[in-house]
Amino acid sequence: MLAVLLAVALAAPLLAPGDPLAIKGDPLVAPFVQAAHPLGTDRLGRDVLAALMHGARTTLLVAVSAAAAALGIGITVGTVAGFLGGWVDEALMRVAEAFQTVPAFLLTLALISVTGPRAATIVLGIAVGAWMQPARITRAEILSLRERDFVAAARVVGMRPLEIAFREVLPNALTPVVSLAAVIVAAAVLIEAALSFLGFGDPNLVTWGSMIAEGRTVLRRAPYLSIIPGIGLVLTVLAVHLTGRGVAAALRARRVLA
Amino acid sequence: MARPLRLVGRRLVGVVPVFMLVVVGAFLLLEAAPGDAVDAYLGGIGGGDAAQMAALRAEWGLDRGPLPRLAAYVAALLRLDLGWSTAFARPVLAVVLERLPNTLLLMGLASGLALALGSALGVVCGARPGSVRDRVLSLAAIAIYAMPGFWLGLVLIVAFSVELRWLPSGGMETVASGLRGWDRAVDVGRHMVLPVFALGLVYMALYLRLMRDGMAELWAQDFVRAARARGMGGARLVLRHVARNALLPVVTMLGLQSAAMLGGSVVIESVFAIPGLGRLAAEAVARRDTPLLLGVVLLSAVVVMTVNLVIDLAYALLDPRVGSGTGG
Amino acid sequence: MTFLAVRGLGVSYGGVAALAGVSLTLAAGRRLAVLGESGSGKSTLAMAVCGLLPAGAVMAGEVSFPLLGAPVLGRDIGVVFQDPGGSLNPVLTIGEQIAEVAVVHRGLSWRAAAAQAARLLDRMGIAQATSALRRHPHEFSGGQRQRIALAAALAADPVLLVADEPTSALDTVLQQQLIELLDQLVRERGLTLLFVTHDIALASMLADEVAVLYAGGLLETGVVGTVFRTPAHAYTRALLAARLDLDTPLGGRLPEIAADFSVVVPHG
Repeated sequence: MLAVLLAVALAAPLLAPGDPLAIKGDPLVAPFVQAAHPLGTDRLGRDVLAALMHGARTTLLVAVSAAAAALGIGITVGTVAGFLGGWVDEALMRVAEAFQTVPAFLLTLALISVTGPRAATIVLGIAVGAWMQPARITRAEILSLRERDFVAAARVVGMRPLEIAFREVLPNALTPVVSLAAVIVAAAVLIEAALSFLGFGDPNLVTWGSMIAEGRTVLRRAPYLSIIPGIGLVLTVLAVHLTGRGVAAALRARRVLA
Repeated sequence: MARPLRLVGRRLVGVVPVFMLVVVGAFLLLEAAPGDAVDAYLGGIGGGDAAQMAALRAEWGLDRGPLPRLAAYVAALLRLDLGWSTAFARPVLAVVLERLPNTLLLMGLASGLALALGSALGVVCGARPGSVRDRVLSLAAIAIYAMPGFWLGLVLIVAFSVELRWLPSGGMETVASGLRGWDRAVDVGRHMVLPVFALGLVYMALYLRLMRDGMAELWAQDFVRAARARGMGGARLVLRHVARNALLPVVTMLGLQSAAMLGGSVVIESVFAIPGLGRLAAEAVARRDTPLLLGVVLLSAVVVMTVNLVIDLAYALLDPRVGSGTGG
Repeated sequence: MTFLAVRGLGVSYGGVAALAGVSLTLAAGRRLAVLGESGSGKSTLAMAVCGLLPAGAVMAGEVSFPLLGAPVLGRDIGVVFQDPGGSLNPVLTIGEQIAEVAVVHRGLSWRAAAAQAARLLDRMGIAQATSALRRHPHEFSGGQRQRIALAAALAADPVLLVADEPTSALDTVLQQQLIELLDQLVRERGLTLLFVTHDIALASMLADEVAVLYAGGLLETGVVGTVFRTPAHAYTRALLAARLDLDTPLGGRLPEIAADFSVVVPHG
């Protein structure tokens, strides 16, 4: 299912060429009425389907980048904390706790208020709110793997501590983090949608959140404008979750065999 | 009762350094924002000349280096002075405290709904894992969990407010209605129904799955077989023995989700036009009022920490193994 | 009077037979030891008698209680398991868990049941029984938990006590204490006892009759003294010969039972 979504997202510029913000037809045409606009048009006459597809691209791009950033930060912090231990570990965990105390959404809002609504800020904001869980999991895995035989063997061969951390221990610690990645991507999709719904998304991009927000003004007359992008969001999130579970199951099977 | 109190004491001590980190983070953000407190204040009262600005800066300690400024910030916080809000031309603390009760009401009701409904349905599913009703409910839960809160809110508005006309579509209470006492409570209640559901259904789905998964795992445990061997069965077995144990991870999750729920209230309050902290945060960002936003952030952190403390206490009461160093 | 009659009992899990064609009888007030090594099906036999087979197990044959009709688990039959840590619900007090048995099965009030629970704990040798009622399983040692589980098994005054390797998880001193306690309780209350074990010495100490199981089949059964003095089956002979006790010479390899049931001492 995710594959379909990905395909559509990547193909969006080909399938619906031209600016999705351009006015194409009569305003407020209902879905399934006109062949030229299968999902109807919005208040200004823009095609819903085209906007939907472009929005898919933006949403996935932002969500995946944010998740990648969150994982990057989290894994690094977790590895360092788990491997070096001592007061470094303590300090880093306290910092993680501090970040967890502040609601992630508010954190992102705070960053946006400082730099203004830009896609990069949104990505960073989401990442900053989501790195703690990967960090904790990585750290836990590192702690349990640290004492195992192959680490001692590496030490005997003469590898330096950080080298050991990143080349030997880390790849094994990654498996639980991978399933977490799907969860983060799904959450990022929802956060990004919420942000653009509130009007804090990048004003140059069409996203499903902004579509829903626009639909709100004509909610009583044309509810489909808000409902359709939402269904898109639900399907995307479900697809991401299912993909994550599938990947995790496959990894676990591989681990058992290995 | 000494054991849980000792636990709370220990947790309080641990919480202080974390809060200090949050304060430092807030300070850094404040520094990063364009303009400083003096600009904000003078902007709010209509501007002032350079001499006034310099004088205020000296008075508020803003003309010195970063560390003294941090110290001044912390000192102000200890005085409960959260700065000045440009958007409202009032002290941040006053604005924030005004909105706090509404958000607490929303969150409290939503959490209550999520916990009660989620646990109850979770027990229904977990009593017979794999049954038809388990699969149907679990599927529904997964679908609900994937929904964006604001979209769910809009859908609820369309369904119940526009089409069926059962419930109001926004606001905290009917404006200028002059209702008092019980009538007022009912009015507020009616206004709260849709937002509470919009905020709480997602978490209900989460607790449902947690409860159900926990129970499904517990059925295979030895002590359940032993309880069966003592002739315990039916509802007694399900509730007293299995569900009670499965409740523990749900309670833990309740604490962890309090931060997320507070974030979720930002959107829900905006959709339903409820004057609470969440909507205040959105307004603060829209009007570039950084001190106000950070005031909301700090207060949120306090709320989250308090909720976590209460949850920890509840957990210690529910699980006798906590804090006793696992005897025997 | 036959108390328990097992006829042609077979149990299989997912197509694999754990027990096949087992028939035996047990008279009221007698003690039966079900003896065998791991995988012999002895626990399965005990669980089948209780009606505690896991879901997915297919049972053939018949287990009947001529004197009881349809026995109720917990009221007429008390069960003690091998793992002391796994028999008790960690979030409830031990008082609650012992008392609820009497409340559910004998209709006692909670107060009366609690008083009875305290008496039971006292009989089991748990110090300060009344205050112990309010404590939780994790506050007790393994040996104590096993005795608490025993108290819960006896709380409704059953006539049959089934014990699945009750001493296997305990050290020798605790084992001895528990066996003596079992012995006294069975005699005091006139219980019929069915216990599962791999330990010949335990069987000979505690039981009147013994049933020897191997690979899911019943090899022989009879009065303890007879079976152990003049075993009918080669396996039983081998078990007796291979057992370790204080007379076993040190320093050599341990004896093993070969597939044809002869006892061999492997060369080191």
